[in-house]
Amino acid sequence: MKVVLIEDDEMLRKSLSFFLKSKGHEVVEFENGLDPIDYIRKNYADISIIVTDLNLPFAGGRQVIHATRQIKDADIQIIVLTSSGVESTELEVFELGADDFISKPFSPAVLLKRIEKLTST
Amino acid sequence: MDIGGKGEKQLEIERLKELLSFGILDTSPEKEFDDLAQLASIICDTPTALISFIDDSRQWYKAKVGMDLLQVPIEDTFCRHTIRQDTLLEIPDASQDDRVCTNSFVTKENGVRYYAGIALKTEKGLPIGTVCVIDHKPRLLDEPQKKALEILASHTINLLETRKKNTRLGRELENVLKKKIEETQELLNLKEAEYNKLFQAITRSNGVVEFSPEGFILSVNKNFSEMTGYHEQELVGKHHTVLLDQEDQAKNLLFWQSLKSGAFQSGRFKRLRKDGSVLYIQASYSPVLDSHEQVIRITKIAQDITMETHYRLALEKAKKIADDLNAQKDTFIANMSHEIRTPIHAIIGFTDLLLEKNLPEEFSSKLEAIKLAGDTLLYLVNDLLDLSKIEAGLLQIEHLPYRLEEAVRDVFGMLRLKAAQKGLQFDYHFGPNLPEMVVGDKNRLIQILINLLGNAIKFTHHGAVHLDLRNEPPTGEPSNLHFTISDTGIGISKEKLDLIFERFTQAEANTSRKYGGTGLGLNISRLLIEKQGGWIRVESEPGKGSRFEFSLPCKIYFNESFAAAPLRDSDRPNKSSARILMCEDNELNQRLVQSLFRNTPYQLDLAVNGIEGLNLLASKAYDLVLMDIQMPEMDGYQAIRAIRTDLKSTVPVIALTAHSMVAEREKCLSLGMNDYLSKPFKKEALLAKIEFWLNHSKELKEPPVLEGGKEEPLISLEQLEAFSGGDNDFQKEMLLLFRNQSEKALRDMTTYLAGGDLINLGAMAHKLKSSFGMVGADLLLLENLETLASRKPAPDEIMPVLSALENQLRQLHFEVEKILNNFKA
Repeated sequence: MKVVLIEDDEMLRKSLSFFLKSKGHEVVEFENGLDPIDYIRKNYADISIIVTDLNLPFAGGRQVIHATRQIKDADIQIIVLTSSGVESTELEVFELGADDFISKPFSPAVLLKRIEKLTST
Repeated sequence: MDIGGKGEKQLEIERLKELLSFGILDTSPEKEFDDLAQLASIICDTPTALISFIDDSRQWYKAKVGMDLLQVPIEDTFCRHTIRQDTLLEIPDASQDDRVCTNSFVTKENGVRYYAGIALKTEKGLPIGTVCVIDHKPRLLDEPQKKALEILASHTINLLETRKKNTRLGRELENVLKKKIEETQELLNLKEAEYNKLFQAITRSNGVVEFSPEGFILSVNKNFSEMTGYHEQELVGKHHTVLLDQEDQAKNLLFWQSLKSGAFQSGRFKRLRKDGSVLYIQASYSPVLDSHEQVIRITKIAQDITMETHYRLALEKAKKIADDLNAQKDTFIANMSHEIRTPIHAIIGFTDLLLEKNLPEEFSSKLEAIKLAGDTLLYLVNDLLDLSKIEAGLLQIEHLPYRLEEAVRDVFGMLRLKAAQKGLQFDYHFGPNLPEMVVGDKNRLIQILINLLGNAIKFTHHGAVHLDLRNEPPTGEPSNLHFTISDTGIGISKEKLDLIFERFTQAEANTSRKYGGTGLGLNISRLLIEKQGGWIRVESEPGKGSRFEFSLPCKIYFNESFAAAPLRDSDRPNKSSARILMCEDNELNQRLVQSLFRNTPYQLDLAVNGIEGLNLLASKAYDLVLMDIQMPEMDGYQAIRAIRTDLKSTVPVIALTAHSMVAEREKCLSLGMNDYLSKPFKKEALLAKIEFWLNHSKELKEPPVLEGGKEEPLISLEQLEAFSGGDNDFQKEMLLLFRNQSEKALRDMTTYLAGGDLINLGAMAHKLKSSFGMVGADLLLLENLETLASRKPAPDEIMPVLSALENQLRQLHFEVEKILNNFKA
């Protein structure tokens, strides 16, 4: 299963990628919000799920979600990584069109469960 | 009627009993029966219909249609025949019937011609009355009418039976209820009796007052009026506030409101007596509720605690005064310590310096005298301070490892000259199996030995002073160290032996004149020994000599690594040159240290207070700081805090203080000082400490724990382990990444702050939270920073948070380094 992972913190991104790969998933990493939009538009048919942060350089996670939802025929699940502090509320995450969210810091096992749950339906 | 074996009379009695059991005779007309009679009349189409009951003398009509009479004598009735048969009795024409043709009702004008009646038979089969219809012309009932009459009769008897049963049930129920009520009443009476007894007991020993919910006094008992000095009548009807002073009246509103709402209150209260004097009571206020949960009155039970309260207040006051005095005393001791020691320190220090120069005998002998006087003065002051500290409970015994023989050698080094001057043999002997290292208070042991050995030398004019040290017990695990100091001196007479450990006593009144000393030494030694759980005793014979023995509990120190720890060593060959900053306001001390450093490779800069010191530290690099504690402007405590938190400097700092208390040293270390030296100090001690810290600060060492520092681990690998599935190489890679990333982030944030770019500063803090989360670090500072940045604050608001973050990062990096090293291993 192909996972698009968008997170600007290198450590978290690398760790998460390492983890998902170790669970047998294909992971495409992005550290900003602009590049994945282009990528998703071209490869939407292959992508099962997008895991994205909200605060990203160039374009935010909101734009990524918005752009993904504009693609007709795309069947992509989106999980948002939120963090406590001055960020959007959880409700807002759903209004943006995301399917689920997980708050940082999170257990990778829990994220994996959510990914599996979303992609199995 | 078949009466079987029973007589007719007997049967009649039973019938009458049965009739009476229904209690229907002579009751008022009732609609239920009237309706049935009416129905009979309608169905049978007769002018008259009756429901009647027959006793021994009459027929009584319960319900009647077309009949004026209430009752008739039994002889005149048709129905006496009816009740004698089971079936309907029909007399089509009474004038033709033998049974009744002579009846006056028949014979009279327009008399009875037709009669049909049926007996009312109870469940027991006893006839008690009839339902009958009467007409004035001969006729016959058809079958349906007869059937209807039977049904009516059956209904009537059912009605009666049901009523009877209901009545019986009602009565039974009533009985049961009555019984229950009686039982409950009994219980209530019992409770009430108990309550009354209790209340009486309370009333006898307490003041009892009842208030209306609004706070008006409804009643008071004798005790309460005695307590308050009012007569009962003076209080009843008054508002409760009559017993309060003005201050309490204001405060009492809320209290009374809560009572009014039904809350129980209790506590100690101040009240005023009639004469205005103060009364203290211990009281409870219980609201009494009615069945609707409304407060109907408030009962107060009070005890007079005025005496107790006065005693308590007096005690508290006395304790406060005592505490204040004690605190003053402590401060006085500390100040005295500083004020007296500082000049002595200077005298001894300068004398030492002069003695180092090869001056002519004329000067050096006088300098020796000054030195001796200075030393003596210092001992005196130390004795007095020790005593004050013991008195104040401030004296603390240290528990640190030290070499036993080294302590003894130190003492002999100090006293050997004195003994030699008097031509005394002066030596010590160690028993077998003595532990090399023990845990305890080395300085206190030295103090005790100097005192006892010094005394022995002082009072011995020829012969020997000898110290013997052995284990107690001599074989196996030693539990005590046993010291024996014996001399061949003047000795002590028997009468004086008991006194010598007392304060300010010497064996002879002229001893002081002849031998000097404060008379405190032995007293202090004994206190010090006893405080450590040991004992001391003395044997002596005048003219022959004395023998002091003391014993101290012994804890053996086993850790071998300590043996490698650097010891006092002033002749370390490779002394490194270093730049040292000294913060010291006292000019004498400044000059003293300056001269101490003259022959060393160290370069010394001076600051006269903490502020100047901080400025120098900020502008120049120093390898070590010597910090006086008591300075004007900014003292040593404030300075060390600023060095560690504001300057973020880890430069080794050695505190120099006149306070020689253990608590003082602990305070210094807890604030971030690396070490501590009590004034007056020896040149060698200072140089050893400087050398030690210069060498050790270059090694990787723990950052000093700041006050309020967290005990919990700074870093947790839990997350990384979860992500990596326990892959060590990957974890290592991530930790290195964390170190580099966070370092860069901090640099960036500092740049952003300098450029006033709070948006990027906040964003950076936000981003860093993810990394911090990965290593399980505390996010609080980052969150503060993020929130702060979003509020557009002044730079000086951000600065301390950023500094704190830098500090946190330093500690995190230290931890990361440790973990990385562990991975390597």
